[in-house]
Amino acid sequence: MSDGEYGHDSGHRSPRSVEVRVAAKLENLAVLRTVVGAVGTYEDLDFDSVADLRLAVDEACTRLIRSATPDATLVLVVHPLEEQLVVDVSTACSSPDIVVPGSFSWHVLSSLTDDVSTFHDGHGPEDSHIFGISMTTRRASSLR
Amino acid sequence: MFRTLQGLEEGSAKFLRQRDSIVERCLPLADHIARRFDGRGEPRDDLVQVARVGLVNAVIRFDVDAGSDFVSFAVPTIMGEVRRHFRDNSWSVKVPRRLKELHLRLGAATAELSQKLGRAPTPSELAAELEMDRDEIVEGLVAGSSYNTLSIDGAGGGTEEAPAIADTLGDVDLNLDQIENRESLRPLLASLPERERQVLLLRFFESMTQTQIAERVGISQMHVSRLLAKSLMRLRDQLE
Repeated sequence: MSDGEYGHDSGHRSPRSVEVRVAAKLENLAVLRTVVGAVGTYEDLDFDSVADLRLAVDEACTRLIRSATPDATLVLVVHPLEEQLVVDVSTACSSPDIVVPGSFSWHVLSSLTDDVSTFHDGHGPEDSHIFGISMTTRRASSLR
Repeated sequence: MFRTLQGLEEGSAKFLRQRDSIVERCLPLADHIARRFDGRGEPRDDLVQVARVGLVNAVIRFDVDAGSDFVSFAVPTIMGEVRRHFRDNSWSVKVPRRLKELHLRLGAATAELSQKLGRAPTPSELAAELEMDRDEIVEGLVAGSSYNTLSIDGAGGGTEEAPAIADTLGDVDLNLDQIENRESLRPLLASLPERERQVLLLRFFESMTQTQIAERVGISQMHVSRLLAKSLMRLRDQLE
């Protein structure tokens, strides 16, 4: 659980990475969930992990969307890596307090995934900053 | 009972009475089958109804002299009726028939594999089990999940009351120590419907997997997921 990494994304890129950009609106949650569910299934995660990841994306994106500046774009990137799947979601926010460690939200996210961290990815439009949440789910096969 | 029925004149009052009592005797069988299809987006009452129709048909069609016992004749008949109901009613999105059938096979194989593995299976494991192509499985699962999304968003359907389940689960000991906003959380948890609360506590405070919860509570894993999504959303709204 690290905090404040900069230029977060670059280390995870994989040839199978999938990126979705939508307006940071709650109406778009269903699409984000579905994309993550589809990628997770395609990537051969077990069903529990896929279901948990969908719930985690719901939770993380809701947090971000609620802190997002008007007209912000939410970026969701799924990085399928050899041992794990990393989901990064980020958007332009006016406040950095998206999920505070120790909050119920944080507890939910850490129960649903194997690792959660937040990151700061520089300046967004105007006075905003890009804040994000990164979630890691390990593949069932890597646990054997 | 069927022997007695056979000895009666078809259509006579005695015949009908005997047939009714057979149906009545077998109602638990129909209800049991209906329960197996619970949590797939169809209201439970409808499923029970459909399964019972299947039972009535099975009783009418059963031929004592054909050699098999009634249960092994009735189960596929009832299942067939329930499957047909799913095919006809629940797919508001146009999904190819092939995928719908696949979805049902996947459900059965998933349950079996979960038992064997002690955790939920991956698509690869399902493909091996069903001797099918992995891509086909993935396609089926993705179609299945969009089907399920729809039914989540559909009207509640009032299938949430399940006193029997609530009774069988003891109160989960609530350990909120690691949570800072626990004081505001506690009353919100208490206000959740019984089953939602149990599922939520088992997942987030007892670290059970969704599959384990499904087994313990007696609903499908998809239903567990749906209940979790619902209660998390409620908590998010109220914790603001």
